[in-house]
Amino acid sequence: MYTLSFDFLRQYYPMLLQGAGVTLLLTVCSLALGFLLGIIVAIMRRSSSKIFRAIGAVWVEVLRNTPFLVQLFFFYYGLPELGINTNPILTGIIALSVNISAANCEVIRSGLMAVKNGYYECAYALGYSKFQTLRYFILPISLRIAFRPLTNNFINLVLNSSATFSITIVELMGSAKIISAYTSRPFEIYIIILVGYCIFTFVLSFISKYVDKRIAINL
Amino acid sequence: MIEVKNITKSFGDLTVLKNFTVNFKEEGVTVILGPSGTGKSTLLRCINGLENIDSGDILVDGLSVNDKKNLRHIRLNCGMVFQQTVLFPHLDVMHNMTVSPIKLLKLSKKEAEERAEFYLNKVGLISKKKSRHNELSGGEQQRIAIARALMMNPKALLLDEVTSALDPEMSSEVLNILEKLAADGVCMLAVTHEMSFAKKVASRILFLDKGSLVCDEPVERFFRETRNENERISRFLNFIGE
Ligand SMILES: Nc1ncnc2c1ncn2[C@@H]1O[C@H](COP(=O)(O)OP(=O)(O)O)[C@@H](O)[C@H]1O
Ligand SMILES: [Mg+2]
Repeated sequence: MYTLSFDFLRQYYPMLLQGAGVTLLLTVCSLALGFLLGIIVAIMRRSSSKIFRAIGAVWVEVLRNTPFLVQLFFFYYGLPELGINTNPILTGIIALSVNISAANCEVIRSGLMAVKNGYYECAYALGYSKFQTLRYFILPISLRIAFRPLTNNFINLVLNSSATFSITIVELMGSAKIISAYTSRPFEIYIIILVGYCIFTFVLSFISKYVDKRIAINL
Repeated sequence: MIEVKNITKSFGDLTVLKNFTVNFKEEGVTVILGPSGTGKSTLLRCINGLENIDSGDILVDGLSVNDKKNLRHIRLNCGMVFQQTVLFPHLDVMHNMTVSPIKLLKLSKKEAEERAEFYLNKVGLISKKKSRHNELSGGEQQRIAIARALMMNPKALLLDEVTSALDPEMSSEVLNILEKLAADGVCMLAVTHEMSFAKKVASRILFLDKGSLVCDEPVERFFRETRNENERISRFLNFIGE
């Protein structure tokens, strides 16, 4: 019978921690970038310009109907062809941000649609410009509405980030692969990784519930 | 202060205001009456540039609404309160009051809060300064909206049926506030169906029907003579039970 043994951890835990650190770096950077991109594309999709709306729609449809792994390889091999030389981490961040921006766009867009016309008019009547109205009122209101689904997207982002090991990034998944090759203890190491991702996402969803309660609004 | 010069405004095929001309001075309360759908709201919305006019011109403080660059100045000078109040739901009452003077008039937070306390006292709602919109009654929200408009020190208040969505008790709270403001000399253009308010507070009555000005008279004459002379007006007043 197979007996589990976690002895290798004593030697390899720094590598795991480093991997977790890289995962954190990837997800935090992509979270910020993907959030901004999501807002921009959502606003484009609601613009009065047909061209902007079309670009936004194509952006979302392409990203939502293709596998993340393919998108990742597209950036990994495609960016250098365009003369943009990046390191794998940066490529990973770009791919993850672009990928999550599509989902973010859709939830932000429905948040924007939930904001009644009356709020715009009221702000215009007070003397705010279009941009100021968006900045001070419409976005703060719709982002509060969209907050929960946005955090779900973020959890997906954390999970997706594990695919970036395939472009040589040694994040959590990548470090697990290496350790398992050295130790021949793949079962144990993947148990640890599974638990690790679980803890990561549980903590995130806990924080998100807490924050959501504090910023929730009644329209 | 507000000069509406021969304006025309249509929505598609529907001409709502036809060659409409009227002037408002910097003082007093003008009540705008008329059956619904005759363009009263549209007139107010054209004055502060929420609707574009097709032809003619409106000058507020000498500035034309046709020039987009003037809109901010015009809107700061004409505070507007709508039938459906919109307090910003992510801000409490105090922040609803202070955000605009801070962002648009560059007041300091402290100055804005002092001004807000002054106006909240004026509308009798200082105790609600930490509340959100959903913790306030309709009448309270409307009083906050009026106070919020006053925060910008506008030269005139445009009031579009501000009591129509309220029950009688709440609407009398709001009308009392407006009466106090009128006594303070705040210039108001008010669309309303509250005749007792019109009689008590207004100095001038405009009557609109089908997009044109049927009459423009001092309040005493309107209720004493015009209502009997003009068949359309007497029909309207009878209809609303006055
Ligand atoms: N944005 C709009 N689009 C199309 N028609 C409108 C619009 N706003 C108002 N109208 C029409 O214009 C007419 C006048 O409306 P309004 O000014 O709101 O009347 P009132 O305030 O006197 O009741 C109505 O027939 C209304 O249906
Ligand atoms: Mg109206």
